[in-house]
Amino acid sequence: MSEFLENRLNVTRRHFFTRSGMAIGSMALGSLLVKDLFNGDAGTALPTGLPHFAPKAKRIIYLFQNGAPSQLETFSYKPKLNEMFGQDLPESIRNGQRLTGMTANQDKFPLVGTYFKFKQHGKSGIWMSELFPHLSTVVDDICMVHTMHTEAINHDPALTFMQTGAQQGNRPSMGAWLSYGLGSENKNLPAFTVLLSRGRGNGQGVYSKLWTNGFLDSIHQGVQFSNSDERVLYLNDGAGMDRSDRRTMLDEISKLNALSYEKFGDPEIKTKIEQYEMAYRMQTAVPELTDISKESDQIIRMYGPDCLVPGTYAANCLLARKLSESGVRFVQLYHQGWDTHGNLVNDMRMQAEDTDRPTAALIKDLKQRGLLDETLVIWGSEFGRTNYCQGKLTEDNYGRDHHPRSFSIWMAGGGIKPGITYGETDEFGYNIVKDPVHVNDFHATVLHLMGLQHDKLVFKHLGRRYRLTDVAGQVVNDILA
Amino acid sequence: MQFPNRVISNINFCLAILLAFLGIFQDKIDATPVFQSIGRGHLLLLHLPIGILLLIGIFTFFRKSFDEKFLREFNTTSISIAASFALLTAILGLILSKEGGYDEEILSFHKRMGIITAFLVYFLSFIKQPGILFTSVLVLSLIVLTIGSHNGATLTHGEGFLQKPLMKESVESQFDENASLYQNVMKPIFDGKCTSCHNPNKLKGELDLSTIQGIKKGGKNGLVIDLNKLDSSPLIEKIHLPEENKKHMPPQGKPQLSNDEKALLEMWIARGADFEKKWKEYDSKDSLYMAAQKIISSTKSEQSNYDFKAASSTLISSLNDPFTTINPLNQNTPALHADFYVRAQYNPKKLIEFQKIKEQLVELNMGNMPVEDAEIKNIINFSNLEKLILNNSNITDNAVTELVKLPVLKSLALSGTGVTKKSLPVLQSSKSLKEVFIWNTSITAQDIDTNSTIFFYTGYVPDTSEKQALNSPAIRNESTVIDPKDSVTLYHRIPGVIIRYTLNDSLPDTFSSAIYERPLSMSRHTTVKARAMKEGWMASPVSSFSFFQKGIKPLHSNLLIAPNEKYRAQGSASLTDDVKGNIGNLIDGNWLGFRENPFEAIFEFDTITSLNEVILSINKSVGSYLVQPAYIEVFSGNDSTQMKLIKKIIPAPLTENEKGVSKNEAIEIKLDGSRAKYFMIKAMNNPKLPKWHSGKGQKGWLFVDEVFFY
Repeated sequence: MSEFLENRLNVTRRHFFTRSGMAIGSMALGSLLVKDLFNGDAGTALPTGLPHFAPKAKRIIYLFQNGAPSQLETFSYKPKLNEMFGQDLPESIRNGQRLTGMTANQDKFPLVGTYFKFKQHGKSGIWMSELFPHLSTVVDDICMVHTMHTEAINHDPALTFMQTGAQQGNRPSMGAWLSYGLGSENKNLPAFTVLLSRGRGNGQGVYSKLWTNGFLDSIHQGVQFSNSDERVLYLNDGAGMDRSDRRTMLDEISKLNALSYEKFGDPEIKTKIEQYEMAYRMQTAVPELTDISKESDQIIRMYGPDCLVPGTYAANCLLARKLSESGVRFVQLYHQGWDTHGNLVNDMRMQAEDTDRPTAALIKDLKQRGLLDETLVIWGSEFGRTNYCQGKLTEDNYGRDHHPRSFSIWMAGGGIKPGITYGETDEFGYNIVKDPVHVNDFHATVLHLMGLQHDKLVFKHLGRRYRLTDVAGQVVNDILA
Repeated sequence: MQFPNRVISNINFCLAILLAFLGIFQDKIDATPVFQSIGRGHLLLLHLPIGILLLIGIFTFFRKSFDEKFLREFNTTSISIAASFALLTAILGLILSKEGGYDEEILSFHKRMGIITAFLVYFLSFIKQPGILFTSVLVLSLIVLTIGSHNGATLTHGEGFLQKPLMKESVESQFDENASLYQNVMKPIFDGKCTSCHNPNKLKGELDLSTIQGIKKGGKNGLVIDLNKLDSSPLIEKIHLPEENKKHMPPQGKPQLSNDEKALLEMWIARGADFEKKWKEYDSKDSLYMAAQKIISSTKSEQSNYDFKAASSTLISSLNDPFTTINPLNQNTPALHADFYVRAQYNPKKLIEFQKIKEQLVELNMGNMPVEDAEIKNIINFSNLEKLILNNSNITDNAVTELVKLPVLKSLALSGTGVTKKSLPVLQSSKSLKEVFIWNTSITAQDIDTNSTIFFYTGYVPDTSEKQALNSPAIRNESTVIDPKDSVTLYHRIPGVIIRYTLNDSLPDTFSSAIYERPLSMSRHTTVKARAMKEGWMASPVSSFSFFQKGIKPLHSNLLIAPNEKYRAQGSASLTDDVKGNIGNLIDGNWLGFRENPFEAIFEFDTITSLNEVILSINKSVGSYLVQPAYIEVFSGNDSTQMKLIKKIIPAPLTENEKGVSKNEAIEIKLDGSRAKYFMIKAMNNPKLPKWHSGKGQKGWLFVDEVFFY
């Protein structure tokens, strides 16, 4: 190329500035249309601790029925199964879908209708079996969802999926996400508490990974309450230590921690300081809450006499109400004993006996305090149970295997449309025919009720943005009040 | 350049003729489905002549900057091409116009403009040379084009498409009590989901849903609301078809009706599609009214409708302390909610500080706080307070007379307070109250006027006829293996309960068994059975505790045959560690299980020891094959290799009525002061379960957790 031409290709200074000026002008114009451009990275911004929009519920009590209660013995009425008692499950229904290792090798899949009688209740006409005489008195306050479905087929992954949005146990659980998104209402109690109980039926494990903070700050971790008379251990000052000594000690420790924060800059040190301070305040807040010696006869009759025995489901329901009333954002109960592979009739009866009255009492109790409309109560499990029998089938005894394709949960209170049934399964109670609700959808809906947009509640970790609903989730608008 | 230009000019000629022909005979065009879809190509093609013409305009306007030769060539080619597209677009447009569903007036104007544009451009393609004539024809075509295409856009997107975003505020309909239910609820639904296609300009299916007349008139397939068959009006059928169905409305891809909206539409039509009845004329318990109310409240709650100013965030954070939290209800709202926590830390002065946010405070929760009547005067200044919780506070009727002054208070919780039925008329006088919670007060459900517009909730009242069973008594002792001097303490958590008990293995009854008054002392092995009872309750089930006194500790214990490998506990050490196993948990590390082999263990004492009794503690859970041994033999000697049988016992055999038993059983073997250094115990597990057992004929298990020596 000739030197003359080459020279013409060179950009002059004037040319450069003219062009740059125009480029910047264009970008400035463009930026008027991209709202959050200069507000930092919109995707990873820390939550403000306030709901994105007006929440319908301020707090959640999640009654997790660990081990998967059979939907066919509780809420999902399928008379067809009684008609076809003992006949083989038609292949057109199962359609080759996978089964667990426990029944995959069975020669036959005999359908089994429920042993228990069903009836419609209340103005809403929601179906419920005779196992729940008390719960059936509050059906007009609940929304029954028959079409939950999940991806996992065994307890651990299904449970982990339901509680953390992923089958592997390294993600923050629902309560931790809510604590992260909304913070704590009552600064004297943890935002996320966990209460465990064990029924008399066949049990499945619960593990602390279900209330982990995952990659979130450890202040969001669920705090497990003890099942002894002292529900938070080591809360009392030791012998010879009084409140002012404790205060002095905490002040000095806090100074040391502040020094080490200056040196290392690890945010977990700050968390630690906050935790010490909260524990100090818990010393007054917790005894006030957990003292059950003054409960009225009315309350004892409502929740049943077991509500005074720490570690029972009834006691946990009562405590859940008290914690929630005191501003604990997320109270998570786990009740074990629903894994009815065999001996189903008897196990279901015992499990229902232990849980029916306290569950109904919790709803009534919140309602009579004017708190039900701001508290979301969720009753549910990790999956459902098969419509065919596992093991030996007799009229009054049988078992059911795991069934992830459809199961029933219900919700009540804060922002939920009361007295409705949502979704339909086929007459065999196997597949969903209308309005499926995936676990991700369930999470999206719960976050929505709490005033959070599920795709905006994110945390960046290891180079990628995480959500409770991961990359899916649709709010189920039709169950919102 | 010559060849394509000639081809194009030929094509243009043909198209011009075709357009002229169709233009004249447009009323007779018969649009078959094939032509219809070709006609829809109009919407795509129309953009091309517009673009090319604008380009030519730019080149003509700046012609001085271009090389004349280039300009001439560019014009020649591009105008021809523009003419082809303009003609073609006009032709397709004519075909498309046959589909119908458009406002006739605008359509015919649009057609005229389109045809004129096409011919103007065609004419232009003959001039070619830049000059006054060329420029004036070009400007004229651009003007006609602009007018024509604006009309076209109106046909496709509806009237006022461009201005709509600017006018949003004023377009939104205002709710008005005096307007009809149709105006308040139904029309917004039609406007939101239907009228973008069914409007007077677009008239898809010759249907206009934007006016009452239009809805009554129906479309080309007849009525949409058929008052003769209310249950199956075409409109309802269409919205209930599956979304994939072609006839489903709104069409797939457009904003869909929510289930609530569908239900309301259906209900409204089934009730005769009343356009006139006023909102306020409906009864508040009318199901149609309630469904409509729901839709209104759902759209209302999406917008913040507080018109007061937000408090500064520094003010809000200065009011916050660990026991009182104040937060906005959500982002982007000035409304605040405040909560008090920890009764012991209640600070009444806070309410005085709250005067700084008296306007913004919308929800206040003082539940379980010792609020006194005198403090209420600080609350009534909160002019926007909608929800107030005062459960279990110390307030009385005096507070209520003050509280009803709150102008917009909707929800008031007074459960567990001292208010009485004297307050009911006072509450009734409030114009804003919607719900009042009065559980656990002296007010009963009978006191409440059933016609009240306020929802009074009296909550749970125990049913005195329903007798629940008490739960069983429990023990305070941490272990059931106790020192001889220790005693056993029973308790029950419900105040006023009587505990009756037995120590002789019989079932305690509700009238004659001993009443528990003080801690009980135990013998070597005692089973305490107890039940609780109280007036108004059914007696509890019996609870049973098997207590063992700590005995003489052997120096060593040694298992001669290993237990089943799944149930080994801590080996022989578990037998004498005074830690009992849990009946329901065979792998708790305390149970030794035997099935293939008998239990054989040798115990060495530090000196020659005199024993009166040995107690073998076993797990008897019959359903799980855990049963008592067939026989037990005790050997003794002062040398572990030379042992003599000193006692053999055969426990009572298993009977059918023990089928459901699951308990800890103590097998007592009396030795009458036998003296020796070594004792060996051999217990043979049941070799053959009885006929009635589900494992009949199979071997039973023997589970041992402790052996006690006395």
